[in-house]
Amino acid sequence: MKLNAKSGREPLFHITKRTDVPKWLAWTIRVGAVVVALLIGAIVTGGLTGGSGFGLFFKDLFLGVFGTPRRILNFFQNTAMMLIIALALAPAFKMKFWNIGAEGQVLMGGLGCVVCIQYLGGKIPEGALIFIMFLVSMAFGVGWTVIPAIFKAQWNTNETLFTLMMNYIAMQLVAVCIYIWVPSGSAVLGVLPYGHFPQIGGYNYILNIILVTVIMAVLFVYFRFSKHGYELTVVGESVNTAKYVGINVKRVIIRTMILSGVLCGFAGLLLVAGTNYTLATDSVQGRGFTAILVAWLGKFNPFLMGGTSLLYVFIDQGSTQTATDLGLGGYYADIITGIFFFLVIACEFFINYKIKFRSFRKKQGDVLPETPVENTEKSAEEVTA
Amino acid sequence: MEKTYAASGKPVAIRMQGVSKSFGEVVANKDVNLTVYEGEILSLLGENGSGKTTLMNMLSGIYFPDEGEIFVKGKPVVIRSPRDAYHNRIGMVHQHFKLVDLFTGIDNIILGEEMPKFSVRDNARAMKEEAHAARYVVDSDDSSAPVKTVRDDETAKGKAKLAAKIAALPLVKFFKRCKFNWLPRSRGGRVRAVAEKYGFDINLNQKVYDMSVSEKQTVEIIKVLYRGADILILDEPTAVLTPQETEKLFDVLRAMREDGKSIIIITHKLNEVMEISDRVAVLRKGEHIATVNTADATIPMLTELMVGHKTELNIERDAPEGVEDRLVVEGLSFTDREGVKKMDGVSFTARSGEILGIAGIAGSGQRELLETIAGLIRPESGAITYLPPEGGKPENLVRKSPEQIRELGVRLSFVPEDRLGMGLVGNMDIIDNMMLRSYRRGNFIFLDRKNPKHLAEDIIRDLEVVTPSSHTPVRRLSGGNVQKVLVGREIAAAPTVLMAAYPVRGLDINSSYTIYRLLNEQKKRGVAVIYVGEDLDVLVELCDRIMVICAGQVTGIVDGKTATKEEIGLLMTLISDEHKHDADGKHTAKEEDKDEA
Repeated sequence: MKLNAKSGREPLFHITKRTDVPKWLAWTIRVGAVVVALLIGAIVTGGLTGGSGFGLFFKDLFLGVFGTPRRILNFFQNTAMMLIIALALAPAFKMKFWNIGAEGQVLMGGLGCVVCIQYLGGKIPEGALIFIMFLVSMAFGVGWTVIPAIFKAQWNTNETLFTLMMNYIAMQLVAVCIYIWVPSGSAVLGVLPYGHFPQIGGYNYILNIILVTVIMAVLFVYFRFSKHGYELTVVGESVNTAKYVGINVKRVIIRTMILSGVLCGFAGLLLVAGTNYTLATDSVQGRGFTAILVAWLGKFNPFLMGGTSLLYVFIDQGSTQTATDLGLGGYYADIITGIFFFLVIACEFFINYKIKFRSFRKKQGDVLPETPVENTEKSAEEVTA
Repeated sequence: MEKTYAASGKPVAIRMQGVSKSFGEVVANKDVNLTVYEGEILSLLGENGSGKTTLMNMLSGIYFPDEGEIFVKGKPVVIRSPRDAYHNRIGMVHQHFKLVDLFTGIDNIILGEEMPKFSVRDNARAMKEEAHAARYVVDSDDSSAPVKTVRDDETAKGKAKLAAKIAALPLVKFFKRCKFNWLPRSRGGRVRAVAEKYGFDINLNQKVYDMSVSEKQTVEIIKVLYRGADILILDEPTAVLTPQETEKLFDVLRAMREDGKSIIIITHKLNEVMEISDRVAVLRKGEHIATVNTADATIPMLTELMVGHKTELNIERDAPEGVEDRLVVEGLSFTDREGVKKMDGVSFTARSGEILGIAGIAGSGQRELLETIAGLIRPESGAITYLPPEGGKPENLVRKSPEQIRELGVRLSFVPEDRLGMGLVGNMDIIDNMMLRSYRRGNFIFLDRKNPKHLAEDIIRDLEVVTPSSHTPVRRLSGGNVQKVLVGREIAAAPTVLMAAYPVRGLDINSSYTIYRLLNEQKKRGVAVIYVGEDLDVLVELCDRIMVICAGQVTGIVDGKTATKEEIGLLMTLISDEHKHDADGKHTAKEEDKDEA
């Protein structure tokens, strides 16, 4: 090595796989990534505003989320919405069914609600209407997930393309329905008068938040302790193993996608009956895609996904507020969330690998050939420290 | 501990000094010193995981050593990539061949070859110098006339000629490049010359997917030689060969040794070490233990060096007791998706209290046979009849799913070849893996983790599985421990038929012998054991009967007590060549891919 370092041809660094990273270190790296993301966000803001934005960024970020009771409620409502879609995706992704069609699946759930409101609203009691909406939205959501599932199970088609394309069908379907329901041609469905979730304690979104929290806990138990959860994990890890122990793989795929569809439909219900009271083609606001990242960062553990949803919504809502306060325009929030995601995802690299730089210390003495063991130990210590 | 016996004053080809390499916390090589002389065959001996391949990968540029120096022919070198290794005339034939299936042998060999350097400027300078060089002309009969000095670049004609030649140089370069890049087959003759020089018997115009495993290996070796390697590293070259093919390979290796090449063979087969090598270097747990002259070595001595303590290398074989037919297989045929006949009228009987060995070249249909019995493959024709102990009702298992077979009360256990891809789930812990077989029992909705936990703890204790806890994901365990977990689970189901495919592949000696002992215990309990193996020495020692299959056909069933390796080796290649290519050419390649994954 001495000679190699001298000739200068030893690579500057090489990357080695880490096997057992202590938990505290992994979490330090993750928290560090969030902190660095915020710092870079502040620097970008400072750059855009000529320096004054650096401090304001942190203030506005925080106030944008916790500034008023209304904002706090919005924060939890947005988190609940993001989380329910992520939860809906988790069973599919755990099974390695790459469903990128949550956008359309949730929209279909919402469409199911609006269909009920349009044709039954006012004719039956509100409670019965919500119950029917509940069933119909789930049926719509299941319809949109089970079709690719059947194709995948029977003919092994590529679910990624299939689910992606189903998004566009769903959007156009909603557009057509709105066109039919709104005779004026404005293509905007106003606030619907029926089928609103009841308020709890005078606030709108409380019921949404409670329901999503309950679903989070139920899904955790389903994954961890139920036979279905076990089967879908085995199918996800290895189809060969599943077949070998006699699991009916087709049945598991379809069953799991029905569960995923039920949750997507439920997310649509929360969107229409609990949040917006209306529907448009872009009602889901891209959350069907963002939820994939949120679910993945939460390692498909429902409680961790709750954490990642909170974090994401915090950054998103806070940076939107910052953009308004500092007059930075609509795309500013995307830049900040982009930076955040980039760093949080990239930090996993440093958890799984370590980078070893060429050692310059070794030039000092000529004792090397006799004491290589000491050197390895030293460098190992350095890395963990 | 370290002893190095110098070979008879030959020049040194490679010296590795103090080489260390670790992956994370795993130390693969620690302070290894190794010397290879020119014109010798050195065996690198060690158990799985002793760091043989890692050490050689550092020579061939796959890994870069953390510590230590490498000298090639006395000069210190830095090998950062396989290309650097080629420049130092080191070539490695990997265990998993790295060939493009759709290319011919020749195409694979010349693939990635660098064009010889051709510099316009240097050539121009050389031409100018040549033209400027004085030529002495004697053009007079008069011996006293002065000798005239002529320079080509002094005459107008010479100048014009030189200028034209220099102007044409870029064009010449272009044509050379065209020839190199677009007419690579023009180099076929040179490749064939290399093949002939060492007596390789192969048609290099075949596509790789049509080649048998041994032919693919030959292509790899020729590739390395064609690139001008003087130092060849072969990683477990005999693992996939029949005894006859191995003999052929050894002849070629001896021819190369005569030619002055240095050859390093990575292996863990002791008898081959004794047969082919001049010296043996033994690694244990990443450390170089000793290098000995083969002539001075004995098999027990090498085993002791390799394992670190004395080991009994005898497999017991008791006479079978209470033999009765358990599983009758008749006329199984199966053609896979690509239209290759993987089983062609396979018939045999597995009997209780006896170990039936299945021998054959990898990919001859062993996997398909076991998977068919286990209910994973639906054959086109044939019958599998299960005769329960104590004279119950015979059951036909063909075209039944594993679920249905279990519901019939047939206790069939199967240790598949692909442990982490089929038998176990790598990311799950030992307890959850125990549950794979039994999770359906009990409560309708929720899992019972209590009994699997007890089972996991029993297996860890009884089979001495080395693991931090029963909550460790099995992929973190070493190969031997993974296999103990799998075999332990399959045996815990109290089977009446136990099928094991390559259960000792990649295991160290101690773990292998644990597995043999477990199989023997099952045999004593009256289980019908079916053992698919690749090491013929073991098959002959362990099995009561050995069925040999070749290209999906049963070519013979021999008695384990009287059979010889050569006899089995011949049966393994009995089918005509054309047939053989179909079976092992395409499909071992696929299996190797899977293994790697």
